[in-house]
Amino acid sequence: MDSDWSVTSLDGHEGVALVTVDLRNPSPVDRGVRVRNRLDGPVLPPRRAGVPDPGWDETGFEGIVAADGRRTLGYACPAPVERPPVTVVDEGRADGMESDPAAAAVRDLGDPRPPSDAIPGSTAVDDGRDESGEPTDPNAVDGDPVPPAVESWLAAVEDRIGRGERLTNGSVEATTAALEADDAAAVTVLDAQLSADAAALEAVAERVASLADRVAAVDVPVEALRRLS
Amino acid sequence: MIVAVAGGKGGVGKTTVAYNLGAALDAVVVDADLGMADLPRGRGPDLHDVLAGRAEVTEAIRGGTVSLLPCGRSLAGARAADVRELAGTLRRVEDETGDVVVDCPAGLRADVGVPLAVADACVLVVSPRRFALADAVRTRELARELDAGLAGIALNRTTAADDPPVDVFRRILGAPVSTVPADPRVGRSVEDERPVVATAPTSTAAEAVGSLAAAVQSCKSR
Repeated sequence: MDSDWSVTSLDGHEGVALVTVDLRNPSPVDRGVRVRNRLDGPVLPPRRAGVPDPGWDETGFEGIVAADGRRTLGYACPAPVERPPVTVVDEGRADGMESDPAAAAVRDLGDPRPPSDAIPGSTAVDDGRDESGEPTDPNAVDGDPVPPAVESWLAAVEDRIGRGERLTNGSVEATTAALEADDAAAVTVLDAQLSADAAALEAVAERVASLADRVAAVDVPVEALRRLS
Repeated sequence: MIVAVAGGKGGVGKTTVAYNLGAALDAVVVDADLGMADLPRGRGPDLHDVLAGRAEVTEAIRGGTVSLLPCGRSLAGARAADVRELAGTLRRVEDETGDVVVDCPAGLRADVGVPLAVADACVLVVSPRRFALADAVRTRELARELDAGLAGIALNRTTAADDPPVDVFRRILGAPVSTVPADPRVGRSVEDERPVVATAPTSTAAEAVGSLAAAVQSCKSR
């Protein structure tokens, strides 16, 4: 088995290597070959409809080069460029390899799932899962110190208080305009909601104050515990 | 044994045939139409939940006159379901309960291909019109590529006026043809959860379903 390889880094991304391997089988029989990735990262194999092409796995490629044939492989790897990027092992005469028929069906026929932007209430980016497919935590604190659930509740309350203020202190014109937008029943509902909001805000404020006191008093003895374990 | 009920074209009665065939074979009927489920759903986890890894197969199977593994009807559920998991899921249903009849969706995407790839045999449901033949032939080709032997053909909803071209279908598709007449009891069977082999065992429709089941059984013993 003759082989050539080349490795380049992806334009503008020093940490991603693109590897191509050219395999040639000069012998008159089909031969199996194992291409193992030597770079410091997982193999990102070629995919169709999200399914890796047959023969690829995390560590490299395993397949057959036909008699007097040639096969060119390519993959990406999130790792700095090193040379050589692969080891090629000739596994001798090939005698048919099993593949997963279900994966082959998905690869050949296409993923039947509806596109994510067809789903109401989701965006292409946020389908409730992160990139690894794990559901994201709706209460996750990400950059913004206020959790999103709390933030959206506070925003809703703020909106209602704003409407109440316009009705309470506004000029005649402003109040009339606001009343035109909301009928009398809506105003009654708004009043009830604002009373409920006042009670909720008071309860939350008490809870927040007591939790803040407690968290200020906590001092986990990390060092001492580490020595004990 | 896993039997895929496919047909290529939509609206030819795949679900009805699958349900009644499931009753005749005493099998679990899996609604694999991930985007447009038809079988009665009931409460509790469904195939979407199983494929998304949120529920076990045994939790999702629903007892009844015919045991069902129903499928959810939400787009979000269809989006979250991983069709590659379908192969393992169908095998687990077979391990847990025995025979499985899979109601495949219309079309020729992977949600048809995966059941055909794991199925031991398939049944084609076709409409008794000549234009239905093209879809049936395409599905048969796909089934052949994926190693699902064609056990039988259900020429569904035939009427006397159709003069169903049974011989043409048999010759071109190369499998025994069961002619299922347009019997309202068959049409209602899924909704009422009353398979025709149980409610009207002597009807022509029940006989047709019976002959289809016998054709499937003969593949099993071979």
